[in-house]
Amino acid sequence: MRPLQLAYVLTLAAVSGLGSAYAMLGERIPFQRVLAGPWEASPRAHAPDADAYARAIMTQRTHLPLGIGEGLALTAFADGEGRRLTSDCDYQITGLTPPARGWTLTLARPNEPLRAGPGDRIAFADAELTRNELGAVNITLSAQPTPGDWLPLPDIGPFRLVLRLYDTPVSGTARELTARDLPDVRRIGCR
Amino acid sequence: MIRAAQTSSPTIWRAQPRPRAGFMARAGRAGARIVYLTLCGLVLGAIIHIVTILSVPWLARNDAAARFAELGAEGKAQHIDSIVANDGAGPVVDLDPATAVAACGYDLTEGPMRVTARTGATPLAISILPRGGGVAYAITDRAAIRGVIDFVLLTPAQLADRAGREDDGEAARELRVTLPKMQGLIVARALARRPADRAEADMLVADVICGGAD
Repeated sequence: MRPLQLAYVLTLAAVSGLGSAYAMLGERIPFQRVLAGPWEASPRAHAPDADAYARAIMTQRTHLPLGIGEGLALTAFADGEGRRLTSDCDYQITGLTPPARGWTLTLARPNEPLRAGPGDRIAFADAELTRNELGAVNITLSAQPTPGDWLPLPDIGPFRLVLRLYDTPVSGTARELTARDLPDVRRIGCR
Repeated sequence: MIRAAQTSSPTIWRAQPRPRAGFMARAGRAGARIVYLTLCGLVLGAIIHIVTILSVPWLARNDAAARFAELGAEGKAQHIDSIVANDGAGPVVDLDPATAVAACGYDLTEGPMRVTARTGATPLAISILPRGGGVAYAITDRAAIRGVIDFVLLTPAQLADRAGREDDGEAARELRVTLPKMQGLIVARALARRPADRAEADMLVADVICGGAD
């Protein structure tokens, strides 16, 4: 094989091999996802029999996952109609949450947490929220202050929402979750 | 593979005088050569992809079990915040800002470890993260007996040894958790559902005791 041909083969191998590996190691676990409406979870990602991609993602950066029995973390990257969540738009999160000892709803960047300065609100815990007569929450995400439970949306572009349910019976049966069991994420307008 | 490539090497790559082949035939051979080399590159790329993905858990130095392994050397869990803020290895990707988290490294080569935690008003959970990823075990304060979570971490061999040392007919009154790896991390997590609960959550996780079992 000529040097030029060898160089072509090796370059192609390095670029395709390392590039595809890097592309698979985002924050999103590629396989065995549980989908329910806009929410997704990967309860198997940290099980002893997790696949190689989940293992690589969980160890390449610092993760402290919730064990099954400890809780369940659900993430929304898009609204109920499948459009990417972005800070250019306002959102309303309404509905019931599964039974849990406590839960939190947190804003995060797609691949990392959001750093909050002192006094910045980037999350709600369930005890801080109001509910209607059916027990449903109604949270508004907007850059502008709104009445009711308002989660200020900083100008961060695309973002994700993380719903963490602590000590919940659904963590063992996450596969049976449907969109009706979880709050809806609705886009109410864009700037 | 390399020898085969050389013997079948077409004219286009050589500057030797040869009988002139037709333009179409030469273009066809060059095209076949490029396809062949591309396939070689992609197969090698697939191998590199698999090796990379499989080696990440063993080469990683920023996973929680490695990064926080030094915590808890004094026999008590310590808050992870100071390490996260100071070691420059980036934030904990999936940390809930409403939780207080303390950790304790374990190494079973020195014998079994006992974990004891006092429960309080805020939800508390303890999970075990062995080296190499995954959660081996998780327990919440619902499993506490008289306000105390208490269990022993050991290897299968240490379990057999411990069971063998018991007196006949006397059942062991401790929860034993066998682990697949010698090293890992004990993580205590308490949820502050209101800002006012924060102080108690911080205190609960820092009060977790992790020391030798005997």
